[in-house]
Amino acid sequence: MKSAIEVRHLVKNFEYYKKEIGMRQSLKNLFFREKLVKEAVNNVSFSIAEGEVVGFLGPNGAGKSTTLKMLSGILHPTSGSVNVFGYTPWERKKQFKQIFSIVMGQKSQLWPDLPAGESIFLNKCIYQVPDADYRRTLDELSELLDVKELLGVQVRRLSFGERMKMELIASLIHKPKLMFLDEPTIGLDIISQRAVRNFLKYYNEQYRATVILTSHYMRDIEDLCPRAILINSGTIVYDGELKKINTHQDEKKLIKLHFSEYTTLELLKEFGDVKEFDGFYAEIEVKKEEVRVSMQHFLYRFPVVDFTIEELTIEEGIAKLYRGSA
Amino acid sequence: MTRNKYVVAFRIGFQSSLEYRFNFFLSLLSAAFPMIVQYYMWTAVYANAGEKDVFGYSYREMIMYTILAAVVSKLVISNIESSIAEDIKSGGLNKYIIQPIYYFGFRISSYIGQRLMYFTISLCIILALTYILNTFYSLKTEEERILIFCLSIILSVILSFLISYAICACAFWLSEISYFFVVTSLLINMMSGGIFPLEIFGERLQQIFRLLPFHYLIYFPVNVLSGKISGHQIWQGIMGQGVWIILLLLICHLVWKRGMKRYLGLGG
Repeated sequence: MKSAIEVRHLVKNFEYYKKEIGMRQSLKNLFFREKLVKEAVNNVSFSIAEGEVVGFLGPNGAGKSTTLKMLSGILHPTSGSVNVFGYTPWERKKQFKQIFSIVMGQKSQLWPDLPAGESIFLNKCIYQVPDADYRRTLDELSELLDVKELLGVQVRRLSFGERMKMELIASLIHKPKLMFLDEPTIGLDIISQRAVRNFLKYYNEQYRATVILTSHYMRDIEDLCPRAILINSGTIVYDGELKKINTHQDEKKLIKLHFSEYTTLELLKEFGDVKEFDGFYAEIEVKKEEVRVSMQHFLYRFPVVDFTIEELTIEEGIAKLYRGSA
Repeated sequence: MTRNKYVVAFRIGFQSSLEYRFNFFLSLLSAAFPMIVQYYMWTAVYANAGEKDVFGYSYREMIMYTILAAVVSKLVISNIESSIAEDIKSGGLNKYIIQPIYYFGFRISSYIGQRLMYFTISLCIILALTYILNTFYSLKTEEERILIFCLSIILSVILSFLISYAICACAFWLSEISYFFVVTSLLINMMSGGIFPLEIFGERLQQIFRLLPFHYLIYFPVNVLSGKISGHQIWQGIMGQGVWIILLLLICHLVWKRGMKRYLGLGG
């Protein structure tokens, strides 16, 4: 498969000044400032194939946005190379700008005082989309997202979910081959979230668009991204299939137990990692090979009325990776 | 319908400005209060001076200057600093970096669109005021003068946009900037003659002010209209405006280039 994005040994350092708490330190800082370097992105390499949907995950401040900014040409890296469809992003060639777009859930690109249709039309002119294509795309996308009647409504009067859908249309009007989605479902209700997810899935399948998605909602990632790249403190801690995030680590299962009588925590602790406990209910992480033995003990020694054995959630696996690498 | 992105930006700017028409009329109204204060102040000054001229202005000329300058300053001063600085501070600039459009071109076309209606209304008000003052004081303003005034005021608007655009670039280096613009806009308003005619500041300051572009914003067009400046001085002034527009285009280009380098993380 042709690769859309090639990132090699990407590094970005930011310089900043040390600030200490207290009046005296503040005064001192006026005359003497200590310069520090923060390694926001530290030797990151990965490649993404054309048409792939990749979840880009990491805790706040991990270097996700910095990486996305370098991929889209907003920031120059300190060192390393990036190749996006044959272009070096920070050269900011006009042809490069034509092939991608960014959607940010936190930042609107629409004019709040005007109908969304006007902002979409402005984008059409900026990207010089031919009239016929424009009309076809607009019809298709607005119908898919069910906002056709709202194109003439002032953006200020739209609901949050409706506005997000308009953002999507505005950034897809030139049919980009590559999309950077930065938390596109933030602040949306469940129905709108689902609509946005379904739409993105459709768009990816229909146009074979390459998508990089960051989100803190696991549902977004699980629904859309077969592959995940986890970044923490500026380095990649996991790159591979999303489903295998757990098996990648030590193999464990989650046993959930309900008791008919009050049970003490101490007795449970010897079987594994107790995640939750309130006397009548417990969640315990147990190594896979010990599940059988542990279950026998539980059923034999405790007043168990109900139980389930589950895979660890992906979320749990990700949290572990974050902690483990921090 | 046109398909040029900058023309569309202009049209969108125009449309969105219509949303704020009430705001605009309020700001015109707010210009009336200092006008009244100044009217009484100058009336008192001239009554006590005992002379016919103060700072080279007769009483009528001074009143005319004060009133016209107040409206012209509403028309010329751009107030775009905060929104551009906001783009720089909060990353709104990113959107223009990744799209095939020039930020400067986009800003100036949407700015002209946003101001067009207010510009026309203010111009009508100024012409009406001139007419009223003329009848009141039985003066006469030649048509030619009005035409040159219109030309100079258009140049003033462009000049004012460029000055603001250059000042905005400070947001690339300063992190706390909101009060900075309060200071600069006050200074600019003063140095451009928006409050008093420049003669008030005395010979030395006036000479410094004449070396700066600001007096072309308000002082010059108002005095063209009121007849204080005449003959070849008018054309010298228009030339001065043109020269400053070219100079400021250069300055804007340079400071924004430096600023963008910093913004994009190239250091500097």
